[in-house]
Amino acid sequence: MSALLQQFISEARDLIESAGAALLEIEREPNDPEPIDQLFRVMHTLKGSSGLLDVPALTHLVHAGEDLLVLVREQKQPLETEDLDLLLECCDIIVEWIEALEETGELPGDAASVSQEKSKALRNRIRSGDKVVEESAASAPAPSMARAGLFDDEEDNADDILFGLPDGALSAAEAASGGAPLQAVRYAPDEQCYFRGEDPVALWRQVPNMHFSQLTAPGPQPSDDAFDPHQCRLVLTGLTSADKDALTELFCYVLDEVTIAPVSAATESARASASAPGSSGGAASPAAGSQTPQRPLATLPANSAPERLELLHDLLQGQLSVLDGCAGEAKTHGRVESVERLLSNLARTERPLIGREAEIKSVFDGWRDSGELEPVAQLAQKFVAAAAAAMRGEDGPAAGSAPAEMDTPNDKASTPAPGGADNGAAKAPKNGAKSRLLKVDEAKIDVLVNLISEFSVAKNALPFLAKRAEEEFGVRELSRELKDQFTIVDRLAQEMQSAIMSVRLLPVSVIFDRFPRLVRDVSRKLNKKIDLQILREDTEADKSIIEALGDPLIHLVRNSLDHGIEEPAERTAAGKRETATLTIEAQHESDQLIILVKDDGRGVHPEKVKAKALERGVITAEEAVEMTDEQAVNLIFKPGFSTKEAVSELSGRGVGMDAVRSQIQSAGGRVSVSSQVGVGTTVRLSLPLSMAVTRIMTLEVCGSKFGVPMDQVLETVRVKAEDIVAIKGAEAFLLRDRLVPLRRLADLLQLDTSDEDEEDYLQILVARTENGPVGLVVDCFRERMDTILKPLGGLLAQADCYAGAALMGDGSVLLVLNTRSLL
Amino acid sequence: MAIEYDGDLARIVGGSDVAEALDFSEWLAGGARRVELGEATHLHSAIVQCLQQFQPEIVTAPGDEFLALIVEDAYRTTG
Repeated sequence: MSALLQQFISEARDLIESAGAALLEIEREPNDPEPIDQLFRVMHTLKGSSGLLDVPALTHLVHAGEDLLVLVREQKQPLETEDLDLLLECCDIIVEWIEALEETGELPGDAASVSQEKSKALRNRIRSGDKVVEESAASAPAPSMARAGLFDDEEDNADDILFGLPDGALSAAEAASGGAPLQAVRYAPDEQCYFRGEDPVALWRQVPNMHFSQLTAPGPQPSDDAFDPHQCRLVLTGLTSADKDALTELFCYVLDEVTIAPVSAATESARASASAPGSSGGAASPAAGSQTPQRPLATLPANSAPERLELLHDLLQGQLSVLDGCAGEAKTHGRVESVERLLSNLARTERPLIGREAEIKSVFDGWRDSGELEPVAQLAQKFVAAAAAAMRGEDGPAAGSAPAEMDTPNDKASTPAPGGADNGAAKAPKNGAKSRLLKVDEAKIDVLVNLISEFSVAKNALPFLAKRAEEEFGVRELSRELKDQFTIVDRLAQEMQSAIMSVRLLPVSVIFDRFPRLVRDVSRKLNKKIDLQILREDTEADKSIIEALGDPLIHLVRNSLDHGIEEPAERTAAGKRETATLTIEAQHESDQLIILVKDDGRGVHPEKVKAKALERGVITAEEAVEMTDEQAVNLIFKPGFSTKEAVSELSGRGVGMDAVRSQIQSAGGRVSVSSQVGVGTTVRLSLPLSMAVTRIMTLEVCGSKFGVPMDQVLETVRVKAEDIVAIKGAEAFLLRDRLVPLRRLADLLQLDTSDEDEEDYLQILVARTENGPVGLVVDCFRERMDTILKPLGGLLAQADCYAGAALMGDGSVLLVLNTRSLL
Repeated sequence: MAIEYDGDLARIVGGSDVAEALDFSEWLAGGARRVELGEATHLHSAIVQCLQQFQPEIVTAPGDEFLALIVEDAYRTTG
């Protein structure tokens, strides 16, 4: 796969995710323009970046979406529910196409026809806008038109363009047009426009009835070394007899970059400048075509310093915005270099204010070496402050008479000028201080995790070697040094593991972000009204845990929507709000990630659950009698259990909640449910923060060694044998005034205890189980260690009393117990 | 690809693309170059500005009138 395609896939995923979020936000807040702008930007960017690849179906589809959004953005038509549905559907299609691109490098075979169908549907949603446009233009300028310079100041715009034309251009165009009214058009494309798939020359070719055209550059040519072919440096100016509407339609995607003004609005002097042969206008000769068509600073009268300084200040402030946009971004080279070029040029023309070229070069050289943007931002900020300080001189000082400190801008870096420059002063260091983000293929991180995991286990060999050194070879000194060295290696390994694992931490929002869309779609199907609350979605956990959460959470949410939450009429009858609340919340609890899925629905009825469990033979009649309500509702996690009579499309096949429990347990987690009839249900998932390395405690029983994952161990205690009590034929002991059931591990594992003598004291591991703490009698406790748990194969794979096996430092294999199944 | 290179001569045939601009500019920066535009049906803006920057010798001008004017302007802006 080419680097370009790889980059596109990565960016397209982010963009589509962002589009989905914006669509849902629009649905929630239809009057907020921000998500509409965001959505438009996404479509526009996606159109441009896909245009660089051979994926026309994708480009056409997003282009159609963009066409619709242009009108919405310009408030020419609202975004209706049908539009949202269609756009969401298109987002889903694009997601599938991106997957296909990643897997095969090509779009699916039916992409062209799907694109055609959906593009047509999107375009059908576009209203015939002529009337709307005319009406809005008659009453007030449409935003795009105002931006295009159609209504802001036609005289100035027309003058600007005509002053930039060569001699005789206007008279020639007037002759060619046969007296039809002319429009002056200037198109100054954005420097980054190629990255959006734009081709200004191609667009310019489409201008109808063009009677004069001129291509220029926006400023002096860069040196050959500094020339960047991907940075657009063209300005197109022309005279056409096409009408304004046609031009506005043609330039609808780049209206910010286009100025259109009727020639009739221009002043006599401007018209004369562009008409009479041999007159001396702002761009009097063809050779002067390299000048910017905009009124250059140099043409300002000498005594108009405030206006000049204001322009300069705005220009510099604009550079700060450019740098602001670069912070944290990966591809900023071109943008930062454009700032450098502008500052260098200004240093030549605005020497007293902007300082020395050498200083600018030095700062930007530093950025090229280190990639650090902060000094660049500080330099730009310093110039903004200097321009602002000069602007405050009410007497209109010439730029050269700016305060003396402007010549030594370094001194001002830490003491920014007050007043107008304050905002920028606060902004620049902050932006500069932002850390840079580096995108790394997750497979590379996985390799690091695997390596450190293996290393964490390999280091466990050192204590065994130390033991052998002492016991087999009698070299106690070497043994001691090995143990000392192990302490250091162990600490470093833990720090390395912690550092590497932190790279794999992901916020749960990676999973949570899918729920607004899912809840929206499912609740619509079920005709239920749901208010979804997502809390603390920035809570982080290891990638493997986050990935393991995906399917179970979807099932829990679907289950809640399908079974838990009542229909609006039922809720109203029960005195509840018609709109139900579904909350998905994440939090950290010691070294566990806790996920709560809460609804205020009908709740789980314990008696109904018991009855169903009894009917299906999941529990016995005796068990049903003894069971608490909490235990009863947790029966929903038993295999084959479902209380809903009809199997629905969404859930209710009776395998779902059991599957949820299995998946969560496979990830080393637990799941439980609490519920109150008529009030609601809360499902609680508890998972370790990481799965890569498992810390275990080793112990011995009947001469055999076993491990127990530390997250299953509450504590270890030593209890007098005489303090063990018998209750209903079972053993128990008191732990801080709480009666804890006691089991003997040797009995549970059916080990031979004939040679074992009863000790005065029992070594007890207090295990954490779903039903509370349970004591486990063992012979003795051994060391704790980090291990990689490997699943068991063969016959042992069926024995769910084992969580897996781990390789010990001495090469032996240790069976690791799963106390949850065992107890 | 629309740009065919032959020693110090490049021939643009049909419609050129932005993806060719970087190679083209690097080739143009390499010394005295000549360009045939007679068979070009479209010059991408990025290609136009490469011509504008490096001003290679035009062996044949574009047959397309619009393109011919664009190229003429491109040479004039810095000429």
